[in-house]
Amino acid sequence: MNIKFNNVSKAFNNQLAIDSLNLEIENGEFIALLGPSGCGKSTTLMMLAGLYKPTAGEIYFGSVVVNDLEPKERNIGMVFQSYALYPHLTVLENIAFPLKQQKVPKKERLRRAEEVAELVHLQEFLQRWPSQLSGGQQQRVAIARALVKKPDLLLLDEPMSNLDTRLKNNMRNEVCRLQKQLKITTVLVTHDQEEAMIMADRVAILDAGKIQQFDPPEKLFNKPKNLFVAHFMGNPPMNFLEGRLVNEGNQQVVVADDWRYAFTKEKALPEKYTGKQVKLGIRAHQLAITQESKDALPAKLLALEYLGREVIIRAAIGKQNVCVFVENMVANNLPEHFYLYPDRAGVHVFDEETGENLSL
Amino acid sequence: MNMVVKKTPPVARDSFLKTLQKKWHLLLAYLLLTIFSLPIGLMFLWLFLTSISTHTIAGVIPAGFTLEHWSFLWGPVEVGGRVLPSIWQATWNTILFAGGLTIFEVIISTMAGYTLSRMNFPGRKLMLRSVLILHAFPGVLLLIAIFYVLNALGLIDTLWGVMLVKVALQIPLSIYIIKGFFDEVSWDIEWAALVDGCNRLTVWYQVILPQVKPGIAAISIFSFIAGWSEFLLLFTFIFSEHNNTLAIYLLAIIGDFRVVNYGLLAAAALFYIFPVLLFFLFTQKFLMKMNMGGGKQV
Repeated sequence: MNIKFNNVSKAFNNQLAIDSLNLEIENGEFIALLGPSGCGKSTTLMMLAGLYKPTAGEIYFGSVVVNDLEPKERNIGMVFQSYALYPHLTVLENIAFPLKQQKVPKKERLRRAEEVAELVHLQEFLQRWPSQLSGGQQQRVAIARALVKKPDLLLLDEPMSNLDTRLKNNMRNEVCRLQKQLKITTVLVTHDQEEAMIMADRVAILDAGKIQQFDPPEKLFNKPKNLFVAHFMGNPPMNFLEGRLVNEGNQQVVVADDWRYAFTKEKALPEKYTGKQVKLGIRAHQLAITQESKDALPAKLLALEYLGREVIIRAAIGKQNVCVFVENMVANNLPEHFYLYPDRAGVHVFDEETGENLSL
Repeated sequence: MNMVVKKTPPVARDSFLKTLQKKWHLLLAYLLLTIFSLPIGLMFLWLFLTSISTHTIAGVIPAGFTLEHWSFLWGPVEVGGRVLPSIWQATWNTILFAGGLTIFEVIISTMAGYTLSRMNFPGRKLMLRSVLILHAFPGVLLLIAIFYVLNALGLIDTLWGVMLVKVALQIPLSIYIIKGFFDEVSWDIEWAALVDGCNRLTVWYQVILPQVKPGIAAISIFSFIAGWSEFLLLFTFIFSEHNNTLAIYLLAIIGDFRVVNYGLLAAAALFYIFPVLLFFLFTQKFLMKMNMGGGKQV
């Protein structure tokens, strides 16, 4: 089932939480809503579930407007952050609960519940109470309960945030496997960019109730549309250097007090941007350390952070701090002053006022 | 194969003192609790002994043994020359009154408590506040007004009529208690149930009510005991002997103050207390057993 948001807004007490959202999700697609807390991602999910009603706009499931449909009329499965298992029912009864509501005969629903339980490897725990399960097992129950009625849409509300790292990785793989196997359209809400990048086919980045960019993970990382996306994606965050875009002779240059960066002919920006205050954005792995000043940025060493295989170098270019990824070998005998040579393909130019990426 | 059984080492002589040192605070707690509950316990004991003794020494210490005072269980009772009807009719009336009260109260307050806790509607705050005020309002003040209302409805001198009045007076407190329990149930569970195909009514019944069992036990106990011990309303609005409850029956046994049969009074009082004690013993474990824990953080 494909899903479409058409200018959907949601206000709480006249405070706009979602501001005319437009989003299209294709049948069988796995998308993630990613953003800092309070960005409106959970509100969006709740509107999909039918627990919140949009203030304006329409949500389409296929060709049907579902704005006024109750949650139970939407055929969706949902996994909550707290798992929200029913403490007074056993694991099997928990999983069979949605079928009970659909008045599926008891024998049939127990059979189907057992089937789904097997899918998430819960066969041995069917007669236990939720309180007797570990966090990971509880989550499997929640997933099984969401899947048992063969939903058209699966909603995951930060489902991994209560698990430890190892379990988290396992569950991510497993959820992805299930999603591909069952071909269910899935929406994941998370604030963990790693999770969104690993699991989703496409990621929508939300901030302040608006979608900043909706693209496959690789594109979000390499072609951020604006400053917010560039800053939000990637760890450590992208380095930003403030300067002014000017023409020197027939060359386009970004200048600041302590450094200058010249564009090649092919990479030059349209003429109309000349004179703008801009931010250069360069990722930590796209800066190389060199001793030659040609086309490079002068830097002063501040600190080293060892991560095992790699080292993060913290350095200052003028007044601005940057991070650089280097191999262990390079970091060992670094002089205090050196030059950083940016990979030209990885240099983004953002308009300082609007935040827009001018180099796309 | 030879099994070597090791003898446990002899208990050190000072072990008792050591345990005492370790657990003196526990001992102190027991001691204090015993001292404070002793008077109440002694009074019950005295009540029991009086009910099976023929006479008292110096008007206080029971002596002699008889079951005569308990004869009301199988025969008619005579007090001050007046023959009272069988106690079983009054017992049945009391059970009916307290039981009916409990059922009505649980049904009404679980529904009202859920609504006030979970739903948003105009006048919700006002209703919550007025519920509290109703509770603070002494029921005695309403006696005359209620009399007129019951009379007009033709419910005067009926157990049902008094039950309705008592329910109305009790509900505010029950609603307040149960609302607190509803507030504790996480929204996630309710939402999950809605997504899983429930409507608001089935969510309430199938998912939320089982989470507030301790609360239901609490209001059941409170309202049953309140119904069992109700005196004033019944005394005022019930005239027929066959509608009497045990509290009124006790009054009849006291009858004329100059010739009170304390043995009979004690026996009847014990008979009156006993079901409540049983009920409480049976239900208090529900009060203690908290059935919480749907997720790790819940």
